[in-house]
Amino acid sequence: MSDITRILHQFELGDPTASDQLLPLVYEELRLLARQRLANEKPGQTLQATALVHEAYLRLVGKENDASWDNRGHFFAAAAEAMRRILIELARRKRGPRAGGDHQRVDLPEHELGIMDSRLDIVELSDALDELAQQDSRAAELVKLRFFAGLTLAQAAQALEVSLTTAKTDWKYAKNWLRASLHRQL
Amino acid sequence: MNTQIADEKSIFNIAVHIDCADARREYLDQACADRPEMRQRIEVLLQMEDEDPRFLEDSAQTQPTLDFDSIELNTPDAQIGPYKLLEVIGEGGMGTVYMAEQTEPVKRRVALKLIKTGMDTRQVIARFEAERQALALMDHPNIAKVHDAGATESGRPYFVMELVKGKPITEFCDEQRLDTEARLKLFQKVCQAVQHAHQKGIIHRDLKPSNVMVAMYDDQPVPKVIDFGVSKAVADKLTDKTMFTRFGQIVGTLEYMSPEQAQFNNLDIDTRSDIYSLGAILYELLAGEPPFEREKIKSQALDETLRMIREDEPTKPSTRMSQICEATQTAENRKNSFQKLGLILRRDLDWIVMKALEKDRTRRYETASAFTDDIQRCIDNEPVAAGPPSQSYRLRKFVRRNKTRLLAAGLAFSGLVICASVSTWYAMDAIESEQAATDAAERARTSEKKALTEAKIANLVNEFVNVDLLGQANSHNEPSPDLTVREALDRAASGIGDRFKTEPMVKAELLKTIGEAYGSIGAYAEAIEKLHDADQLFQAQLGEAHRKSLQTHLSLLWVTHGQPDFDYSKIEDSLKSSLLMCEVELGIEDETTLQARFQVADLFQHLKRSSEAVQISLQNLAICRRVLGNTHDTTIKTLQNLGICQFDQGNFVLAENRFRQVVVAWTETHGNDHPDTLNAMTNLARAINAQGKPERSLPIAQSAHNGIIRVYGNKNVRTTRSAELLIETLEKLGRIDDSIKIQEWLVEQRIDMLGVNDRETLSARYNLARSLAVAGKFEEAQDQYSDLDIATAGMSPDDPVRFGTVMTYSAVLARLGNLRETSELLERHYEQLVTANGADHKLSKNVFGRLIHSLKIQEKIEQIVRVGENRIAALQQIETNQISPTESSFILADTYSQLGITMLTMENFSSAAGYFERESKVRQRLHEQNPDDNDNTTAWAASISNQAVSLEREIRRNNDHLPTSDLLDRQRDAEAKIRSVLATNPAHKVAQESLRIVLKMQTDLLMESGQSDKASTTLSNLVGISSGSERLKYRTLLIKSLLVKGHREVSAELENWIADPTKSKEAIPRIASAYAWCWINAAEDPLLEDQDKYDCQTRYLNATFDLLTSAVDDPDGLLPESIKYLLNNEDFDPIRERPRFIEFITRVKKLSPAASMKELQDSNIE
Repeated sequence: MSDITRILHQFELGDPTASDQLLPLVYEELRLLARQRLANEKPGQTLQATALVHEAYLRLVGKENDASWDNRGHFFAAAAEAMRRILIELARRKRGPRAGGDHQRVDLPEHELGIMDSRLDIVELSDALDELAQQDSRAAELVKLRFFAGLTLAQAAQALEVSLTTAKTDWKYAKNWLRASLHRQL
Repeated sequence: MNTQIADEKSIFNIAVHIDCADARREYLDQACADRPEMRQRIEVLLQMEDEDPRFLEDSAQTQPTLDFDSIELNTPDAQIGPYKLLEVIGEGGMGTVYMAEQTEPVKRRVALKLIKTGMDTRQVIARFEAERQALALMDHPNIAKVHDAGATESGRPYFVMELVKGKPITEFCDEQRLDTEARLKLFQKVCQAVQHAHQKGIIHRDLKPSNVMVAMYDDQPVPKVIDFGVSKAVADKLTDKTMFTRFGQIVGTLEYMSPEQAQFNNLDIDTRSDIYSLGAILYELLAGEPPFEREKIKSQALDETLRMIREDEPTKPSTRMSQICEATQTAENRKNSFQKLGLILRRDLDWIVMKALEKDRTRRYETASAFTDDIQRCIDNEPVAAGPPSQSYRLRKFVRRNKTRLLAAGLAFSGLVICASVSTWYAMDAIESEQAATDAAERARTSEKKALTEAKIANLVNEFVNVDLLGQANSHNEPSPDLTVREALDRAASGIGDRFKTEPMVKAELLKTIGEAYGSIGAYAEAIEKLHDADQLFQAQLGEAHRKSLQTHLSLLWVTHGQPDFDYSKIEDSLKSSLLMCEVELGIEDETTLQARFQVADLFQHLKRSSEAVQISLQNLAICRRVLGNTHDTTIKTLQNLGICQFDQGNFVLAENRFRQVVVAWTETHGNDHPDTLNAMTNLARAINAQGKPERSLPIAQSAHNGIIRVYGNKNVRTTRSAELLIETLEKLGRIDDSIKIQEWLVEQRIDMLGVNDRETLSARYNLARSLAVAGKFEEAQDQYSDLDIATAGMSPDDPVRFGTVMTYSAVLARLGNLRETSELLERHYEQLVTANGADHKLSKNVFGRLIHSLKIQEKIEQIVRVGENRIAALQQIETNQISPTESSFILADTYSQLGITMLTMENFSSAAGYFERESKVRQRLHEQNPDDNDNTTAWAASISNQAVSLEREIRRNNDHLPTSDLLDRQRDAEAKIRSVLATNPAHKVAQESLRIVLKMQTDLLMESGQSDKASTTLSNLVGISSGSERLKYRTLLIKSLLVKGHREVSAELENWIADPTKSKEAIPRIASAYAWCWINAAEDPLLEDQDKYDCQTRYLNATFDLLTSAVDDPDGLLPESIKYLLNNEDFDPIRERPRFIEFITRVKKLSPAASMKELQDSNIE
């Protein structure tokens, strides 16, 4: 049993510290995976972040044949957060020189790790998401799961343990809220 | 998320779907009234949507990047093996169903079910392959064939089935508005299909409406059951691991899942699980909803739902239907059909459905065809096989209760090693203790090695209960529920045998459970045997101080004293040590310790050591309430025990209070009709009765009795006992007629239960007859009694029932005027008593008294004498044979007394006097033996005076019979005896009275025989012991008796009289007059010289006048009386005494001018 599945079992057992343990593990795994994958890609090629997450899932969880959606939900929540951090990290690095004493790691190769819509500023979106989470954390989480972890609406609904209808409502509201926020209209 | 955001979100969500701008505005006007800010925000959001509806959508995932569950194959013309997918025709918990086209080897349309990821594909396929052979054998028009199974390239399993068009059966029925009968007929076809599959050895495991598709063929609805073989291949067993899955895909469809499927680790699913699911489908077809509410299943935690499926009884479909109809109008179709059914049909359908839904599968229909047959009977209006669930209800409950206990016991094995910890119990000998601990630890280690895992033990125990105990519970032909339980236990007990040789813990656990179960049905001998064995096993395995051992030992002690006539003191030591061990090993507040302490209190209660019991119970109650809560069994039992003890102590108000709490607690935990509740109610009624408040206890006694009849039926010991309580209460209220009704009923029950001549029956009949007599229904009472007299004739004559029968029967006969029969009955019984118990038995004295009373009424003196002399002879015989004859001497004396009084009241005086004399001799002897026995002294004095009275009466009636001198001798003899009584006890009232009677009789005799001079002695005695007017009378008589002796004796006595401080005013004129008599008589006295004579006369005259003068001062007007007395005295010569008389008159006039001048004038003094 991998560390991740062990932690996922801890969720089953109601261990509240499980998510604290899960995030760093998933984060490390994603970074490792990204480095490996990007190393094999031609420079200039953009690797889809969400595909990376799913690959990580199969590597870490899927092979254990543990198909409980509860566990997946926890995993993808952690993965979405990890991926967000990685993307922000990359975006910040692309933007310019880092301040001295910055702890950010620079071990990712100079390849793109991106999202489908290149028009979106990942940092701005991430900030807007934080804002949204302040007043509607469920909707924010839904966006994260879809945007960073690549879940479909139905999968995200299951992960969040809400109905599809609720998820649809949340989604429609959240995406327009985010757009309004990015356009400084709210 | 706050409510404002929630509002905002939902308003936005509605608005965004309104395309028409005006309509949208109108909606927002309305929804955001008073909330302009929110409206503004929503407008912005709507604007965002309108500007760029694809925002984020492209970068977010609509299709999974990876193939999780679905639709890698959504694209048209996707191909899986030889199947070309055409379109999605269904989505379900397990996966997606496609219509597909098969090309090889035949071209046909099929349904292809693509299973979600997450399954172990190889296992699914393997499981399917294992059943493929059997599936191929299924050939039924109402079963959809499964053609194939396989895996996609990405490894997802799929199944290929006959393509079935149609709708799920429930939807179909609603859409077609089928009536109940049509629904039933359709459902029967489903049953037949399932029956077919079952015969081929295929269990569906996931029957539900969506797996029963119905379509019209030739205007006939034809159902097809789909997915046979699929769920078994797919469905994993329910394990602890899946418990946390909240979506239910893996565990199947909860709404239709059988209780055994809802059980963890249950591998054992059979055809009866399908019967349950069919029942659930029928339930929904009739009521419109599955047995357990969908909403509830969705909203609550999975484990709660599973528990509900396993334990909760669903509402009957008809009840549910009416609930749904009340709530909604949607059920109109079914309402019209199902509600319109006749009551019987509806009830039968309820029973049929509930039988299919039994938790215990052995109680469901054995087969699907039995199910459909019963439905057919229902349609044909024939009696159905299903019945109300009460038949084996008790057994089921009983076993379920024990099963829980078993499971709990089985799971409580984790303390296996801890048990061996050093027991302070053995601290008395340290070395021994250490040795014992080492031994125990060694034993525990070895047994631990050998022992099965926790789960395995639980499984074994569970399986045993299921198969050996629960498995035999389906007999419908058992008349008595207790018998069934008993038989089940017998079989289970013999089933243990040598099966668990290698697993002593399992064996011990089972023996304990079976033993406790035996105990609870009152089979104490079996209970003791099993619990004893269990106790030995546990002690050997775990040591005696282990919780298990202690619990078992406590159970053993508990059933031990459940035996009738048990000597409780035998278990006191053992029970006390168990309590001590519990306190030391488990702590003073441990549940087992609390149970042990309760048992100790119970023991004291039975030993009638109430204050000790109360003390312990109070202590235990406080802890129980705190640790276990108010409604725990031990708490309630402790409270009950406390109530009983306080009742025993006579604190009926406190006891009432306790029992009331007990009733409330049992009602809350066990319901109204539980034996414990009912028992507590009878206790409560008794406590109120004991306070003398039958009007308050009556409703309680009544409702307890009704409940007991409901639970135990008419013919049960508990029922008759509660009837007796009710009777007692009614009698106390004086409601004899009501009481008689219940007594008549009780007699009937007893005759049915025990036969006519059983003691209990006779006792009830005796009570009934007595009540009839009390109610004045003598004829009815006589009928009862004459039967009873015959029925009880064989009993021992001192048996309370026999004795009571004869006594009350004789009273009834006497009341009806059948005196001869009365005395014959009594005499016969008296003789039996004497033969059986001896003449000195207290009951023979009682009957003898009644006998001679009845003979007395009939004036049968000879018989009285005959019976009496026989009795006397018998008693004298006993007296002489006894070393210490005191007791029989008393009885003999009593007998003399009884006879004497009888004779006296029958005016047979001489005979009476004889008996009293014999009595007094015995009494005197007894008095000499024990002078302090006041009762005897009283009786002795009474016997003497009775004798005297009898003699006196005898003399009065016939003077000639005895010479006066003889009589006087006897009287003086009696006087002497009485005086000897008084000598030791001067204040003895009866003796004083007796003496008075004797003296008076002597006086009368002397006076009447002209010996008044001799009478003066008795009279002066009488004066000495009498008072008030009696004394005045005797003084007067005494003076009169002295007149013959002359003036000296008279005047001497007069001086005594004057000196008597208690003399009354009425005495004055009499004394004055007597002095006047002395004055006259002194004149005639030849012995006096002239001078002496004159002095003497002067003294007498002075005394006369002094007395008269003192009477003048008397304001009550004694003067005229005195003057009259004087003037009427013929010895008084007023002329000769003129000077003194004038002086006297002057004084009178001066003192009292108005004083009776008439008397003075009449005296002609002027």
